[in-house]
Amino acid sequence: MNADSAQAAPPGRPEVPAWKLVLTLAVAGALAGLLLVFVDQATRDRIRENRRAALREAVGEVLGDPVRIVSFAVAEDGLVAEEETNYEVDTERLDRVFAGYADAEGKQLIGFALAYQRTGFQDAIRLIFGYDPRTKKVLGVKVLEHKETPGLGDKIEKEPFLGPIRGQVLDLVAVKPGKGTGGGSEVDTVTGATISSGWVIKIINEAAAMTGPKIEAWLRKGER
Amino acid sequence: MSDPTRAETLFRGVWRENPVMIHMLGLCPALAVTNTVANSLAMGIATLFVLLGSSLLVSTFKRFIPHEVRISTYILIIATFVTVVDMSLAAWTPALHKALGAYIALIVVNCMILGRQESFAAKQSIGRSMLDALGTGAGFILALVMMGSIREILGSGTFLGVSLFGDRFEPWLIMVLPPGGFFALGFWLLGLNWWSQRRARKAQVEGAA
Repeated sequence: MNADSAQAAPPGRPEVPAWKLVLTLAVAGALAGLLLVFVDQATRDRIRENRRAALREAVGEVLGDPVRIVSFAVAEDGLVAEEETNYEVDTERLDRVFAGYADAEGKQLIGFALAYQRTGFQDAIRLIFGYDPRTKKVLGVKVLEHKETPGLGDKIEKEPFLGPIRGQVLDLVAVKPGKGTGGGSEVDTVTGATISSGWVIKIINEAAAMTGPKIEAWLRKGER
Repeated sequence: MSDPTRAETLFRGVWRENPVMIHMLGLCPALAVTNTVANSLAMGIATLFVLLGSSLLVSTFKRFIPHEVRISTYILIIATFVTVVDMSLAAWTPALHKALGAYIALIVVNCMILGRQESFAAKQSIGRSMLDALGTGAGFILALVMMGSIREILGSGTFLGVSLFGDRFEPWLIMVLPPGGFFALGFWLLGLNWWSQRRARKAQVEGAA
């Protein structure tokens, strides 16, 4: 069979004019688009709500169940507190951070939660962590999304790795298991997930470096 | 040769012409997302939905789809249904959507679906196409669950999340890793081939006698 015969209509079938081919695809494409618009309309709010709910839960988790959570938009010149707590974050730009308080009035600050993402071993690792800007101690870490290898890289979302990060002081330093000197910033990487766990540490450090100064400036200004 | 009956059209794809175990189609999801029974089931059901929707549209509009652009039109139809599944899963079952990840979008290039459109739905009545899609989709679910059962039982010691062996069981981690998919597929193909050859030999011996 040559290239022409693959394109041409088989014998006994009339030649179809080009406009008819274009029209078929155009109509099919338009109908498909129309259907998808309806489905998008029907699902969009729920998908956003799911994402918000997942983040709301994660903020609570990494800050140790605060009584009150306030969201701050990260602007060029510092943090701007928002009237209503907004759980939509562009984790690539880290455009919103969350403060958790142990009381309803917002006087006893627990710490800040930062959601940030970077590309790890396979694909983006999206995580959220809470830390106290006064002591620079990490309060909790949760991996929100990753596509690391099941059974190996996915150990980064499990407690044996994430647990010991709690209480360590930023900036974190990745060390091989058993090679640490007991320093307050050291975090053991995971055997079998050395690169993935190293990335988690890198992401936390980077997020803290990006937004930390603004959080500290806000802290000084408010004297809280 | 007479036309196959409706029951034959329906059941052919489930076992005798199982898309994964016999035709070796749709192997990418069969290897990739079958690390648990729940994921296998979800992937199978999502694929069945896409197959049913595509077969319905293709067999309904087959007269209006010119031969020259049929493949592009089929792919367009399949991609539309896959996007519907993707959005619906993200909206109503976010946990499942997270577990299946990129493999939902990859249903578009599952050649089993395109194969059924080209070889069946484009030539047959709507009713028969739906029966064929239902049978083939059920066969796909069956094959994925067969894979997922082996991998979850050996790799995690659980079935549908329920622990089977207690704490003393040391899971075969390899079975939930990508190589485990190949092992599980290999075991099944070996077993099924051995069984069908034995049956064929038996039939031969009985025929001779």
